[in-house]
Amino acid sequence: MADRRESATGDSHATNWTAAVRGILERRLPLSNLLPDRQPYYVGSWVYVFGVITIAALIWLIVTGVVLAFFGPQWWHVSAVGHFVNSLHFWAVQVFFVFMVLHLWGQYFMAGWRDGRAPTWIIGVVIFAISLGTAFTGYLSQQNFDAQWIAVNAKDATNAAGIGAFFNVLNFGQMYGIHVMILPIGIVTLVALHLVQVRMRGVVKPIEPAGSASGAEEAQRRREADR
Amino acid sequence: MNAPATYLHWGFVLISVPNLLLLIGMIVVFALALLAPFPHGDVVDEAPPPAAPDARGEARRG
Amino acid sequence: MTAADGPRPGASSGPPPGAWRPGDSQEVYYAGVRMVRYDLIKELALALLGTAVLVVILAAALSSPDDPPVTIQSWAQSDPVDFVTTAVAELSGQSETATYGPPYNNTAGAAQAIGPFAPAQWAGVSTPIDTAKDFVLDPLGLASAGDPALSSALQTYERAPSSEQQSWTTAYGHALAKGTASNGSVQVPPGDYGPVPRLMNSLLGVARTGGLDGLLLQTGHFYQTDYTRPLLFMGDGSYLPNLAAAQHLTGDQWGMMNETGSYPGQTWLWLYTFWYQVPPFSTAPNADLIVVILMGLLTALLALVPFIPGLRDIPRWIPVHRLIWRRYYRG
Repeated sequence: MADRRESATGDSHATNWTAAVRGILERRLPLSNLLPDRQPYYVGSWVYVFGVITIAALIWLIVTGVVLAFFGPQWWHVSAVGHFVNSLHFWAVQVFFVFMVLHLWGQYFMAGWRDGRAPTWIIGVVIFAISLGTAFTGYLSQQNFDAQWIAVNAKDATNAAGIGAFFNVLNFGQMYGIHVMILPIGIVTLVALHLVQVRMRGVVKPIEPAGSASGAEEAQRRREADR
Repeated sequence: MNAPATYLHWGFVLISVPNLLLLIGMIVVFALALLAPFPHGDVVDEAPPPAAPDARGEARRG
Repeated sequence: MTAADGPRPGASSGPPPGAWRPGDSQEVYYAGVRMVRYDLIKELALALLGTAVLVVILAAALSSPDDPPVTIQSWAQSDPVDFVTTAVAELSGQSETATYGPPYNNTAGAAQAIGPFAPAQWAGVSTPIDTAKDFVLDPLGLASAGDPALSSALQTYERAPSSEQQSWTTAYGHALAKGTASNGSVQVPPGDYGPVPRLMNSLLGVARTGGLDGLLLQTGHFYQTDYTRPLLFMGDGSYLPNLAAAQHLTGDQWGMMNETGSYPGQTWLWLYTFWYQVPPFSTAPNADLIVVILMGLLTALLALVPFIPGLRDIPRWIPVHRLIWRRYYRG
């Protein structure tokens, strides 16, 4: 009986999976880490806002995309309001990619993958790759001359790689479904994971000359207190 | 905007003016982000400033 | 870190005393670092507002590109000789689609490969297309209802031995170089073309009314979202590629990153389209396969930058970080 009571307090993480997951989350991602109201004082550059601007553009892409999907793929060719919503979607794509690439440049020059942050970098590259596919299927879904030509031209690459056997760029229905549903779910999921990874570890420290030791004593004291 | 774009041609490089403007704009935004002052928040946790690079030995003394 | 496992002053190996260790919490990681107030949610709200203003201004001032699609009808009306020339190539099996190989047909040696690596061949024919039947003979069969002359021309063609079919289509194909269009039909100098001119002018007539746009989508199902056939047919002609070339959209014009009108295009594809501009890719018959693989490898390389010596060290050598963290380096 005493053992059971202990497990409720999270003492026997080894036997209770739920308690184990909660324990990991409480330790690795407490709410104060997920939504911190303070940052290291070196977080003071506009380079740090490229990521959040990319996310803002993604949110507008989803909002305008939902409107375009709701009214159907022909709507924006015949309605002035629809054309304006398409224009919002088009320019949000440009803003999204511009700031995603600026974010990539910034993270590269900060070597943002240091101190255990390589998974965050890798997920970021995967998000970039999926975004390319989402833009590509979006261009194919436009139902205009651009979409026709991109399909005719791009089929050679997908066919040469054998991908064309199951990913037919000339099949509007397939491209449209992939664009409005499958790839956005992938992007949103991975962006959420990317954010969790960033907040879990916090922003990386500045690049220092090799061998420097900022706060080493304090770090060791806290490390021991953690145990 | 529906009129054909002007294209610039150097050797094998062929780029439209809109694409070139976008590229230049990105570089300008990146440079501005590096140089422009950023509004700093108030200090809430006054920890000792990080040790200087030459203070390696000092950090081990504890 | 104890004195035993820490590096001695001046030692060149081992982690520095302040170094991060796997499993360190943020408390540990930021030990000794001054913290300042920062409002992430307000930052996101301002970013949402800023991007909304920017996107609304751009959309209102510049709109967005939307060149109307080409139809088989507009092609047949604008360039009837090119339409008929393409249709004859589809009928005789000489068109690009007819000789494409997988995934459309089994043309030997057509699939791109790098030595024994032939993914297109392995993937096989998933979208079978018989250009003579699917693009010409079947649509004409449907259109021949109530047109005995066309029915009999079709029968003459289909019952002729293939060598004779081939000689008719070849001769007619050559003659089309001198073909002229008037009153909705194409005339060529006299010759032995069998029923082919009759078939082609009938197909042209159906195309000019817009009927062929529908007939090419005929699958026996009511709903349709797959435009493979009409797009391949149009891609085999010169009309669609010429329109694309006029807008700098073809592969050898960095076309992947270009857009119709004066709009920015998919600039993020610059590296992908770059390879097609330079040798050996610009002349290689299997360039598509090579470039796909190359870009896959380069993307993997980008993902693995944190682990690649040299690539991961460039940020230390180029002091952009000194600008980003100038407050830190000032002390």
